[in-house]
Amino acid sequence: MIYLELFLTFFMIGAVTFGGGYAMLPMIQEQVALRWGDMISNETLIDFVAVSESTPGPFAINMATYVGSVVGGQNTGAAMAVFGSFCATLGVVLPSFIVILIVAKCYDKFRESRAVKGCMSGLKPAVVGLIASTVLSIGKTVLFSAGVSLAVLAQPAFYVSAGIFAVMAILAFKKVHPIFIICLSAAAGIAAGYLGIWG
Amino acid sequence: MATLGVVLPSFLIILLLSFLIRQFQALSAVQYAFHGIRAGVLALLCKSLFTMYKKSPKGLVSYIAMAGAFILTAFTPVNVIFVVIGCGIFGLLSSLYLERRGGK
Repeated sequence: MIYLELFLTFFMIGAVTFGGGYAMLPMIQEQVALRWGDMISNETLIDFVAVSESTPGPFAINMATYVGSVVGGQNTGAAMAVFGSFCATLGVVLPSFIVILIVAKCYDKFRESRAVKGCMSGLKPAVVGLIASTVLSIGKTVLFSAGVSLAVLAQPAFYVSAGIFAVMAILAFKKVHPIFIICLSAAAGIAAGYLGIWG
Repeated sequence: MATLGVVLPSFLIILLLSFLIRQFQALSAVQYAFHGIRAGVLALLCKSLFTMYKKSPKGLVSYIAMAGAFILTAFTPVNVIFVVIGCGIFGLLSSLYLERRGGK
């Protein structure tokens, strides 16, 4: 049952993730490839990241909604797509909801407790390692879509992608808003497309 | 109820976007746009990696957890969830050990 699977998968992801932003991405990436790789390619998942980033609300919840709508709506109608996003979103929200209900009264004590601090001292750096591995795999997809080899150096698409990446990275480090960066990249992509770069 | 209020607007927007994208994904302009967007997303990820690194504690324990998590997720088929749980336990044990050693 795909809707139960959506709920349970995102419940599991929601339960072990803390620290918002992209911290959840490596896990979503792995689970999606494992379970729904036939419906959602690596490229599509990156497109999801762009959409989730440009939409208000927490990134991870947006990702869950999006994955749910695609997986749930596959071969079925729009109503089932809505149900799929509902299951995935509920799953990802529920763990933190439960935790907050339990510790709400003693939140500060909980956060300051030695056990929680100890776990955090391993988890915070772990997130850095996880995101680094996502950067590696998405970098491979974006720059070396046909496989890592010297042959890509002969393709203009490689240089255009690398150029867009470099400019956007500079803008990102100058604290330009992500939505603006995504819009600019889209414009550059369209311009390059009409010049015949993407083939 | 408050949670619902926070989640619902983005839920509806995402739903709408996912339908729109599926509707128009055959257009070449949309495909071109996403080619560019993917490179932009890679840039955003690099920025986020840098921010997370700055926020993370420094020191031997941190570097071991960072390297361990990276190598295990990037190069081995170990489930990411176990990597996260493992790093949590590693942090807990190492902080207990350091505390005990410091206390003596």
